[in-house]
Amino acid sequence: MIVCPNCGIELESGYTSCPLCHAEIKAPENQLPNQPIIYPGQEGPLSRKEKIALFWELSGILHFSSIAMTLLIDIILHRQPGWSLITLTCITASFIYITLIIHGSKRLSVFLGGLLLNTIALLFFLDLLSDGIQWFVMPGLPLTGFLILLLGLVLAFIRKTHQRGFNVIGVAALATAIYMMVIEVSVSLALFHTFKLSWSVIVAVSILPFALLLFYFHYRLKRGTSLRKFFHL
Amino acid sequence: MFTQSAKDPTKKERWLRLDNAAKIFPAGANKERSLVYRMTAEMDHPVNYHILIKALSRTLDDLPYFSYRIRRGFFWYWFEPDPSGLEILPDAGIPCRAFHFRRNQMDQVRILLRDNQISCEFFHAITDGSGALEFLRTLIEHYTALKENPDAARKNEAQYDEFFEELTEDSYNKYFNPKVTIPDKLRQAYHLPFPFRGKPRLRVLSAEIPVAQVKSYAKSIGASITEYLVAIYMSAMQEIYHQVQPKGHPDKHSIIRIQVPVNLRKLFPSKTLRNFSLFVVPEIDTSLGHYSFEEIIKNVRFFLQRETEPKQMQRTIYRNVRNEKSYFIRLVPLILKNMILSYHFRKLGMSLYSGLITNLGVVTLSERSSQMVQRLRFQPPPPDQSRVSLAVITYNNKMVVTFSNSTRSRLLEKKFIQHLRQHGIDVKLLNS
Repeated sequence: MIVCPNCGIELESGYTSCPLCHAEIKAPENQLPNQPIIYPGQEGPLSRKEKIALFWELSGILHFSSIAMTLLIDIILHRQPGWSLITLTCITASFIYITLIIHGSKRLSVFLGGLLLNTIALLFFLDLLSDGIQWFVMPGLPLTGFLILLLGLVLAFIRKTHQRGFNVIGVAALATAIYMMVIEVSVSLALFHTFKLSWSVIVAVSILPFALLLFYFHYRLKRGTSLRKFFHL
Repeated sequence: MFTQSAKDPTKKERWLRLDNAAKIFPAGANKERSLVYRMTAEMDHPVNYHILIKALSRTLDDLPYFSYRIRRGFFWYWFEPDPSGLEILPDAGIPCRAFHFRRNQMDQVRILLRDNQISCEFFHAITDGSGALEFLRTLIEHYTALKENPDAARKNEAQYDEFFEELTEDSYNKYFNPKVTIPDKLRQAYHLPFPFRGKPRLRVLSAEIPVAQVKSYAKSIGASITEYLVAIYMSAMQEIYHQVQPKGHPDKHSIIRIQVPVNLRKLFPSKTLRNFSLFVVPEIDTSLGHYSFEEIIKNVRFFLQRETEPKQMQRTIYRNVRNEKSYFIRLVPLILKNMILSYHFRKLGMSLYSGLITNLGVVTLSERSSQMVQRLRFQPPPPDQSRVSLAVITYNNKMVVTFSNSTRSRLLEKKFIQHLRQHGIDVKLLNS
């Protein structure tokens, strides 16, 4: 038995810090770390990290073999790449999205930046490969920019909040309402060169009470709280 | 009153409405006025952390009510079991710190460890002194049994489920009698004129007194121990009233009125672990002149004997409980109720009393525990308007008196101890 030098309570031997006050406790000398020995062939099942790495490798092989196949078919049939360039663009963007989710999701700024650049590149090439640049700048760019911005705000909220539930749906609903207005403004500016807000305001006003109700339910009721307890008289 | 799911009577489903006393505490509490009190057992050895965890687990098996947390509803708070159990913390810093709501819920009991001391702190909403003592006693018995033999099997399997209803009944409601009249209204009382200390305000002083000497002196003047201690408290306060007046003008409130909690389980049959106590309030009116110690004793005895009759207590129960039965009040949202209750607590509750003295009486433990437990202490919640409160507990022929003081002055403690010394009683001040 050892006694914590800080709070004075008695502890069983083997502690390097007090579990109560976290003060450091000097370990007895000549004590070896007690770690199990793993022999070859006894590694056990793959860890979650290893499974994700394997999934990324397999999806990479699948994506690039698909690109090679479509390019080959297109060249054999038309002697030059045509429609296969659109497929190539989409599949490459898809692989970058998967890579961002797997490897870039730890840092929100990297994830969102990658998402923004990848989406802009995807839209640019799709527009370019159809009939030259037409819809990419307007409404493509503002719609993409706002989508990523709102997504970033929702994700930041999700990361910041301690208890996730109805509040996340509420925030997502609010972001959707804002995005509806962005869509209407961007489309009206692109097609009619006028700033117009009509149907999207109705959508936003309809969503707002729903979102507020979700916030109320989340912050007042919490998970697992029955209405009987909450409203008992 | 307890509520239990008829379909699924598992522990998880059990939730409780707050009893009458508990309803006002969450509204009345704040960071300084925490309404948290403490009981401490001093062992003859450094507390073993691992054994204590095991003992606590067994204690909560026996008395799971103490792991109930408080939650906010729309109209009222409610209690529900906390599956994570109780928090064990290092005993450092200010005692009786406030519990806080986090994510709409709040713990009500914490365990604190330091050297050879096991302390339990209770928010008053969950239980009164008697309930808290039951918890501490159970914890100590489990701890000492495991300390003696770490592999000791439980002697009695938990029978809590069987007695759930009895142990968690709202006894105020049970003994509510709508036919009685309400007690007379009280005038505002005198308060010690000392300014508050800077935050954190609380200072604690404990003194150990041989109970035989107190008993002998109290008997010689025909008083019980509680009557004697209340009289000393009142007498010390009267001296301060005459000696120290606020600058320029005398205190307009002349009544010295002391709150003395009474364990209602002794008056009404109840085994509840929840709050079931009320106050009797002996008083003297200093505007009538100076009271001698004998006159104070006579007054206190008269008040305590008259007010502790079950019939008188029913009047107070009626006054307190009748409001919560009104549908109009029940339909007021909690946020508004809290504002009203908080005002009620400060202006119509605490301002009516000059001080508080609570005597838990004599505590006995098993032979094994008596050998390991050196001393018990009981500390009242940090006082607010009453400035200095006092709690008394007797164990192993020693009485420990603990003062909670929120002011810059320790004159009341000094005068209280002087009185004891003048009566030939030995007083030993204890380290905190």
